[in-house]
Amino acid sequence: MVQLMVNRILIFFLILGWFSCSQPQTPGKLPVIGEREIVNGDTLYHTIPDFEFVDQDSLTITKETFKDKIYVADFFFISCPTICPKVKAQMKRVYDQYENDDRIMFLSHTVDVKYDTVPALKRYAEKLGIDHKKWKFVTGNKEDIYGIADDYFSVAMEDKNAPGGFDHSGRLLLIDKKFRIRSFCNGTESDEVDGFIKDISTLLDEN
Amino acid sequence: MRIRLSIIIIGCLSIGFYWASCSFGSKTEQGEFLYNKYCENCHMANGEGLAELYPPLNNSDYLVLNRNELACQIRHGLKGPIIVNDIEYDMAMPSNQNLTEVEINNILNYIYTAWNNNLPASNVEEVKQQLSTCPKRYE
Repeated sequence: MVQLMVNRILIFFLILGWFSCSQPQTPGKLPVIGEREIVNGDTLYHTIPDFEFVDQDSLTITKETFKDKIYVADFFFISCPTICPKVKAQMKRVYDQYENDDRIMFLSHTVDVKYDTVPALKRYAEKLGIDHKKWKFVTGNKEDIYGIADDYFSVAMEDKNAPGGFDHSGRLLLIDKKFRIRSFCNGTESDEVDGFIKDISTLLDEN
Repeated sequence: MRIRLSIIIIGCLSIGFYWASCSFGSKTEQGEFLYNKYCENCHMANGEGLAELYPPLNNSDYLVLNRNELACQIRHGLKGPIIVNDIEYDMAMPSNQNLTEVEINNILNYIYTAWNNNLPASNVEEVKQQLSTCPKRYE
């Protein structure tokens, strides 16, 4: 499992490297990130698979929730003593920029399904002061969340040795209307997030 | 011979002193270093915290009103709701049992004068005294 993930991450960086070296991106257009294959002359891009989670208002969240929207995704847990608060602060900064823009949504997956229950997520979202229709905090089956983290090129797993008991990456990911990853950044680095915000504008202009 | 020996000793001492002052830095520097390591994730580099989840340490009335328990809170953590600048916060703060009295004192002194703060300095004696008599709820 870990080997598979390491492989995927390696491939991801290889492709990323290939992009940055051999294919100068068209101005005003973001690359599609991830593995791709060509079938009958059509390029198939890496896309986020179907999912079904529950949000802070007990609503079922699927791909349908994000229909015709772009969204920013991340992985976190409420009692996280390390990077999560910082990543959340940066994600909130992104949210504040697009608070009144209906074309974009936000999706935060908890990796701590035992403690981050629906009421806990609701309270967290309320305290963060966000619009619950626009920013979904979701929980679900542990395997589903850890599995989909892989598709978002993020790490989410239990680790007794990690502070708080979970290991996860602090990435923010930008997903387009076709559920393809178009940009990402390290959510602990304010400078990277600045570039990420520019990418969001680029993607919104593209649509 | 003796003179040469003392020159060597003085030389070594001054190199040692120079090394020590570079490695350990001033107390405030250690305070800032420890703040960035143990506190900054939640309270942020600018001391503003995050929304109503993590309380601010900058311009915080809580620091003034609860000064006599802050060292206990850094060492033992904090559970249950608190009010900071009229807003209720209710996220648990983790304990930091590994921090020494001197380190806690340096963290406090960093916070007391960082950003817009201008609070009276703390000293190790004050911190020691406080830590030896932490209220039961912190145990």
